[in-house]
Amino acid sequence: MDYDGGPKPSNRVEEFSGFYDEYMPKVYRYLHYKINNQQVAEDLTSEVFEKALVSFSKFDSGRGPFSAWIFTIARNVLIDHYKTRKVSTPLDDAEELESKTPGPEETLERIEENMRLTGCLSGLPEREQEIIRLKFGARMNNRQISKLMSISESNVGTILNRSLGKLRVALQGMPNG
Amino acid sequence: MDKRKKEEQQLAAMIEKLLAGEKVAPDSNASEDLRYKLVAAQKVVECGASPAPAFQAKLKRRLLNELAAKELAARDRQPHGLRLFEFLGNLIPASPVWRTAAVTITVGIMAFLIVWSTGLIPLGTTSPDNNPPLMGTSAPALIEIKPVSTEPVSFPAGVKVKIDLVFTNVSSSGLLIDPFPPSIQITLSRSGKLVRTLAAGSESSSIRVAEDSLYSLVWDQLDDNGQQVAPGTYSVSVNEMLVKPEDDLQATPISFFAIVQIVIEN
Repeated sequence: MDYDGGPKPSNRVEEFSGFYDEYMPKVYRYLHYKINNQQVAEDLTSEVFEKALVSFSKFDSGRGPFSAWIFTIARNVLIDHYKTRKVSTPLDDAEELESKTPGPEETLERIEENMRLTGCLSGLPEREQEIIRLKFGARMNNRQISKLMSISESNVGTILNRSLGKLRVALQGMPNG
Repeated sequence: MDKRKKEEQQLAAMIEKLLAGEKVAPDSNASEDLRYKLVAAQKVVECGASPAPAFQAKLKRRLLNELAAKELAARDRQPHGLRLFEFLGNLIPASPVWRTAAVTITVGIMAFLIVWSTGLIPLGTTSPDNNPPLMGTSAPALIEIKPVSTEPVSFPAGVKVKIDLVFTNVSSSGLLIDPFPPSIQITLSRSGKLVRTLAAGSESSSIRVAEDSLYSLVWDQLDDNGQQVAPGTYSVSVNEMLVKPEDDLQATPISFFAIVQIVIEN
């Protein structure tokens, strides 16, 4: 375990370490799909795991899986972020990123593609965006998504199918799109 | 099964493969719609961001250090008896057979003692003043109530007592506490005698997963008859606070005993 020496790690520390290794990239990706800004995504990811840490000693896997718990926290953090702050849109954040990150042409091309996709995603209804984030960001299966969002598993599949159909139309004009 | 549903299932299977890192190509007889949705899914996957390794490692180090420090502090606060129990537990080999045997023998001895005695055996009279605060609850852990400050709380007689309490949601769903604040009981620690009941509020409080609600308890040191209480140690308890998880239809009454001890000085 790669943390500074100190007291011998307890089982709870090792347990949290395992959860962190598995879910941190997923949480970050989930948040980044909405935020599209590395710094803000890092801040919000830190906030999610800090909140999880506070209550981790009382987390009871018998009441539900860790994935549902951590992504409930992540969803709430995202809601708060857009509710309480004067927040720029994901497109504004991406444009700022572009202006600060000169690089090879293909990198700019990639950034432009990301911006276009982010714009298309933000044009979807929030519920569809959330399902996309949970599927592609959090890597949840349809059953997990259905439990988290309190909708049927079949509905998740249908909505996902519909959302990708809308994205397909919006992305026409992109290379290979 | 209609064609639309079949394609939906095909797309779902292809997405799972994409997310597993596999290269995915549609069947030769897949519709144009399905092909283009697969392309859209591929683009979404490609645009997914990964955290910077340095950030990931730094955050992990900080969180694990914090958790280790918390665990150590909690262990230091444990009563000596509990630490002894933990020590004895570590003496027994970890093999399931040994552990099962140890538990069986212990349960057997306890059952024998109970049957042998003339009735319910009290575990010894204890002075509440000498015990650490109990966090007894009458329901599975949904919520935790703790004082903000862990320092001993003492007030001169006649001075308004103000203590900040934190209600923490430790469940896996949002919680509604109604009414909030709940009714609070103040009892004389030595005898358990109820001296004052602070009525519940008229509002409710929703607490999201892993979040807190803060409540400032204010007590004027008067009992239910309006009289100044005598110097001594008093316990703050919550009896049957109604807590409703958002995925349940019914509220669960939860009690907390001796959340904090207040010493009223002469």
